[in-house]
Formats: sequence, C-alpha cells, structure tokens
Amino acid sequence: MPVKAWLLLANALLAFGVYGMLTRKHAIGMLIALELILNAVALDFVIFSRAHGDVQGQVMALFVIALAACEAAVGLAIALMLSRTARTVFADQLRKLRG
Amino acid sequence: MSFALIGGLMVVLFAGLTLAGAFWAVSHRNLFRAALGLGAAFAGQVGLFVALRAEFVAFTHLLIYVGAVLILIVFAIMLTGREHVELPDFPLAYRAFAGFLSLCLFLGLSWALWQAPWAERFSDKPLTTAALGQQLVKTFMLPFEAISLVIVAAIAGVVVLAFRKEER
Repeated sequence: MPVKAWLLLANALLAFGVYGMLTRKHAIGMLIALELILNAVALDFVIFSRAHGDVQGQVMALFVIALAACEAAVGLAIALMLSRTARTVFADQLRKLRG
Repeated sequence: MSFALIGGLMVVLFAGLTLAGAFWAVSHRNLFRAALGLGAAFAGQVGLFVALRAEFVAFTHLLIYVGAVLILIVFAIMLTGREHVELPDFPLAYRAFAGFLSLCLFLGLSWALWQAPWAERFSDKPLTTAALGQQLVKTFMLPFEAISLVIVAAIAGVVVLAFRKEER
C-alpha cells in the first residue's frame, strides 16, 4: 500500500472520532470518541516513522499512548464523580456552573 | 498465493476492522456495544501497527488500550448506572450536519495530504525495538521522565477523585 493510502486511513479514523465528539452527550461516549482521535494521531506517527525509516515517530506514538491512558483514567474518574454527585453524565444536563 | 499478497490482504482486513469498529463505536445507541466496537477498532489497529513494523508500539497498544482503557470504560459504564446505557437519539438533521462537518474535515485533510510531497513507497531502513529503546533513554530522556511524572500525578488524581467521600 502506498504511503498516502495509509494516511487516508488515519484521516478517516480521525473523522469518525470528530463525528462521535459532535453527536454524543454522554461523557463516556465522548471519551470513546476522544480515544479514536488520539489513536488516529498515534497511527499517523507510526506511518511517518515507517515512511522515513526513522524510529523517532514510534517514540512519539508511545508518548501519545501513555498520555491517552492518563486522560482516559482521569476522564472516567470524573464521569464516575458526576454520576455520583450530579446524578447525570449527560453534558447538556450539567449546569451547576452556569451563571 | 505469494507472501506479499497475503500480507496486503491482512492489512486491508485490519484496516476494515479498524474503520468498522470506529463507526460502530461512534454511532451505536447502546453505549456498551459502542465500547465493544472501540475494542474491535483497537484490535485492528494493533494489526496495522505490526504491519508497519512497529512491534513494540503494537504490544504497548494492546496492553494499554485493550487491557486497561477498554476495561476501565466498561467498568465506568457499569458504575454510572443502567439508565444511562441506552442513549437518546439526536435529531436526524443534527446528526447529518455533524456527519457533513466531519466529512468536510476528512476531505480537507485528505486534500492537503494529497498536495504534500510524500514518498511513494515506504523506506527500507529497518526499525528495531533496540533502536527504539536507545531513543527513549537518550534523545527523549527528559520527555520520558516527564511523562512518568504525569502518569503518577494522573493516578494520584484518579484515586483522590474516586475515593472522595460524598459532601453535604
């Protein structure tokens, strides 16, 4: 497969993630879409690494994976807290901070 | 069948699994099934990483995403309650507009990428895990340490958040 076809695949993954971010109200649903976006970026880095024959892109992909894991853990803990204190996880029903 | 042909077929298969899983993950009304679609997308992506000769990244991805993040998401779905699993539908017009926006994003990015002077073929230089390890402890030592600090901070924050007693 040529390099451009691989990059198109990563683009499609990113577009799916953005669609999910736009159409989900549930906090965990939004996190799932966010994971897809971050995955698309990691895939991009690995493709660049392969295209240039340089291993540094893979290092970047590892960093993206590590930070995405942190983000998922914190995000899910926040979603749990929301369901416990505000009794909802839907982004449009959380209006405690609205002025 | 030649070896290269089988390899190409596998890549197409994994790419299809990734895209189908991603579509399932963002469009299914049942959140639990959406999480399962996310798992399919992760699995397909591990195959893609192996095809791109990034074996260590593939292994890490499998371990962290399928082994940890997906489990966390499933646990969070279970703990946030049953009434929240079946999601209400947005109006069709809104979803069509969101689809249109993401399609525009895809087309714009793809157009930009088509203009850029990419190499036609992949480079033949070997990508070894040994070289990856060397990079991690030499060139990227400071970012590596910083990320371990971030992970410790994130874990501490999660524990503080999740074990807090309910106020009032």
